[in-house]
Amino acid sequence: MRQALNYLFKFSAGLAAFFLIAIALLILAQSIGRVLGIAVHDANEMAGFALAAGTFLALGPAFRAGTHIRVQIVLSHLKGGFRRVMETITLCAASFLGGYFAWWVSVLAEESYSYGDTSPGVLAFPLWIPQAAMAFGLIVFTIAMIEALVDTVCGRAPAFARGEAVELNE
Amino acid sequence: MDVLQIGLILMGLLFLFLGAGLWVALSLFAIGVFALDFFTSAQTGPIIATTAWSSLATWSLAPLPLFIWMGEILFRSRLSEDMFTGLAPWLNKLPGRLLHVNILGCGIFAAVSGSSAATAATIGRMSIPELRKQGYPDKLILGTLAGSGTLGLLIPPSIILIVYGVSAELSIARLFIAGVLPGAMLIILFMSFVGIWATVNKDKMPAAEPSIPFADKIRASGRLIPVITLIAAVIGSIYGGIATPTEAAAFGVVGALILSGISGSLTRESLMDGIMGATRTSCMICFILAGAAVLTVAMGFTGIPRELAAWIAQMDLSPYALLAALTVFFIVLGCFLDGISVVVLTTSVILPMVQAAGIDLLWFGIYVVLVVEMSQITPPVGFNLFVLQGLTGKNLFAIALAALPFFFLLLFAVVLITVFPEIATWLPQQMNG
Repeated sequence: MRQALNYLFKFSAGLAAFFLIAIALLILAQSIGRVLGIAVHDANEMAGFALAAGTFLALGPAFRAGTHIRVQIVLSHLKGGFRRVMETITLCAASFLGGYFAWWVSVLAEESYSYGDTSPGVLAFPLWIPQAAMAFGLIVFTIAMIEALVDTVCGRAPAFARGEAVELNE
Repeated sequence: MDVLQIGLILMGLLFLFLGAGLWVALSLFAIGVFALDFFTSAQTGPIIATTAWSSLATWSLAPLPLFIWMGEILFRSRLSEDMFTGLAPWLNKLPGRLLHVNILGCGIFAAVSGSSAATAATIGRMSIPELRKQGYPDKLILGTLAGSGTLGLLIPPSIILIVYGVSAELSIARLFIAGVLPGAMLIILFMSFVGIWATVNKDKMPAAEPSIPFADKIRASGRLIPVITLIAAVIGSIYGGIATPTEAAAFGVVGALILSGISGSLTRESLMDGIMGATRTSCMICFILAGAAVLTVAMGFTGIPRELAAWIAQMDLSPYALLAALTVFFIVLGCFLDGISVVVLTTSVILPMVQAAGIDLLWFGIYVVLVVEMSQITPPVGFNLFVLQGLTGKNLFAIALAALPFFFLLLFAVVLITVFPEIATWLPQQMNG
């Protein structure tokens, strides 16, 4: 189970990294193309899609790394069991919100697919592809939060706690 | 229920969610969902999905991950060492001597990285042990670092100005250029303070190092020249209208890769670390932006920002009074929230009010960033303080106390740009295009 989850998070993170590099390459190709007189179509639009897809695909891995910020001033003053209760409630709410978000973005992607929505540019790129990546990223994010919830309830330290601790001591 | 009550309920909920430790982006998102669901007849689900999608699938955000990546590459290079050895010989003669390395080093690093905490960490890693060894007073070592680290927010390329520009729909190129003079002004303010302090407290300063010949100075700072060229190219191409901020960022990444390749610090591992780090950091910021976009749309439906704007217009406040009130509000907010959250909350809720008061939004961006800079060095939540605590192991409040003079210098800078708005607005007006 853990192993499968780790692969899922690694896969999502790898895709997100790919999209970061894609943004840089698209922009470079466009500006070099302009100098050489070669038209690179819709690079800006595609960079935007890569950014949306990359952001959402990185959500889960970034969550586990403790990168997402939150206010810890109250939590850090709570001790032991009480803190665990608070974390559990927060993680329940977070998982619910993630699932809700994932659901509606999936609906959006599905609608774009069935209506055949495309980007306004020359390429007429189907919108459902980046939107599906976004929905997938949100699902991975929700899974990561549920994993943290299960760990917290079982009394184990969730993956993000290590990242948060490192951040403060780095 | 009237708009005021709704506003108060939502504000209460926001503080409850944030205080309970719900992640910032999710808190903004939750308030948006709650407001749409309970106080409007709008269809919540489809609205949030489309809003989140269209807030991020835009090329205007593209410089953000690229500049973060550029900073990550240089953060992992030898820049920290080079900065110290390259700057120290030149500053030995000034009153305050090597303390200025902190200020100028942060100023230069700020220009390659958009982050305040990364700036303080990079410069501090090398300069804290070195300055301590030479006997400089700890209070000033930490104070200058904490204070000048905040320059990362203002000196372009600045991540937080991209966030503000995208959410307020302003030209990022103009915002960047608007930050140049206020950034330079802050460096001068900080350096003057250190110089005056060192002149008054001569007994607390260590003796000067022997002066070294001019040729050796040039040799020592030789390794800084490529970095400074890179910075000049990035900022200059934006100012001259040769490149958009996105293009400048993409070429900046290439330049940073070449620099770290030449200096031998680019390995497969550091490259991958940099990419993954940049992916995560930009994800964190973009997710907050998406949450803020949902909140903004929800606020639009509830009509709260409009009411606020009308209320302010009706009170007939002078812009100065409004700014004074906002400054206090931001400082308090900044004690508990990070800078980016403060900025997105500002653009979601109070931008219409600021506009109604007749304040220029470009100028307001610089103002907000200055105030947010102050919040980086106020306890209990100040990211630069955390970084320095990590580097030195000192008590958070002791570091905050050391940074206090710099807090007041920042406040003074806020007053200066309010009285002379041209400090921020003049340079963008001279831009091509």
